[in-house]
Amino acid sequence: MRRFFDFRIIPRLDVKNGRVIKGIHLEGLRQVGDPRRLVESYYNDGADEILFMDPVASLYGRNHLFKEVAQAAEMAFIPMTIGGGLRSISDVRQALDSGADKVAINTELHKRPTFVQEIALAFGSQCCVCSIEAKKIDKNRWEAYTDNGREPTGRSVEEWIKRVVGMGAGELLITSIDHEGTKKGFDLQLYELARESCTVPIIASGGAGSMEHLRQIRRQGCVSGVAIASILHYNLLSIGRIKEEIS
Amino acid sequence: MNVIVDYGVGNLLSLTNAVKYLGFEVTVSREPEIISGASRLILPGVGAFQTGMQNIAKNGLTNLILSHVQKAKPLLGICLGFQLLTKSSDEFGYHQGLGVLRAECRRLSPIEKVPLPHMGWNTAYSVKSTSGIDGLINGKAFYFVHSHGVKALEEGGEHYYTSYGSEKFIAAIKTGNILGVQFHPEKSGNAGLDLLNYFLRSEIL
Repeated sequence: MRRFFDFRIIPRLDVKNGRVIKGIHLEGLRQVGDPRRLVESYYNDGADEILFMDPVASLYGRNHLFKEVAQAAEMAFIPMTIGGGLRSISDVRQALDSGADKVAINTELHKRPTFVQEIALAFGSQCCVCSIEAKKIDKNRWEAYTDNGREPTGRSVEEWIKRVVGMGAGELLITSIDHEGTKKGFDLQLYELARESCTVPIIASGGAGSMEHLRQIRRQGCVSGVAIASILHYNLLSIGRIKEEIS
Repeated sequence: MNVIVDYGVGNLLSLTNAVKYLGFEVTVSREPEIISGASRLILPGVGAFQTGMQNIAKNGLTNLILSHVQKAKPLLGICLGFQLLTKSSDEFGYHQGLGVLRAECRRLSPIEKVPLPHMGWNTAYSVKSTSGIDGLINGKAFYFVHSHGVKALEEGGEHYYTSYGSEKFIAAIKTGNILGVQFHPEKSGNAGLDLLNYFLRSEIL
């Protein structure tokens, strides 16, 4: 039986060549396992949603995960989000037709900000997640990046949030580049700024290393949930235990 | 024959997957002969109320759905599909619904600043004791994603609620052979599958 919980725990699966991988600081990669097996195990353990990311899609210019999502959607009856290399309305349609409920867009939006508006009009805001990679550049300022933290955009995260939400983004997935893969905790200041900049749900990503980190971000009350990777993939914590301990 | 009405809004794959996973046959269609021949009808949907109503009308489905209801055949409305069964919505102006349920849609505007749309898991509950499908809904968590909520205009039938911030709205209504749910049973894990299973086993008169 699913435990009711008002804070979403979302396993994040970065998939390359059909295997789940995990990056450290979004650079070096380690193989973790078979996406199907992981999805089934997380679903049975109470995952609220699943997030599939294609970390090398921008390099190849397209998203390769439609098959993985389609397979997951046949046995895991929870929302699925897919991101990485989605460039056009037809990419988004293909993603949704494969079984995704939401698409996470980043790189293409910086090239073509109206893309979010097109998606919202065609499919609804509820399926449109703006994925933001944030790197701290000053005391209370972050810069938005693309390509897994490699390419600076010159845009302030605060301004960017207001702009994309204004154009129809229904949810934000905000990853801290500085904290990602480090297990030192979430960038709480970043999420405070994000909360003050918009009214849509925010999912935090990057930095979770312990139960206490999850407790802290939940207590802070700025985000609606977390997308977590290493802490789950390396069996450090289970979703069931997380829900028991931080409610 | 179980039919999922395809009126051009929302993704039908997950719903189809869930029905098949439970072991039932299902046809996705907008063809008049198929819909009028359906023993059970599922009206899905996500998105804007007005677009939904326009698409139903455009595809000549309005009378088919009303006729299905008049014959007391089982009907399941999901999310936007549920909202369209009500009398009206205030989304982007005033719009009439199919009027099959004595309820109306209003934009969610909780007093405190909770994020909108209402996106995530939430628990449904009944306020007075009911029998029927109480065991399948009361105290169970389901996945919601919406920015408008349904309020009942009268008593009668089984009503289940959900609260989000200061707002309380209908999570599910059962009236005769009509079951309307604001949440997505195809996205609500086992609780959702159990409810779908109940609907797909419901008797046809």
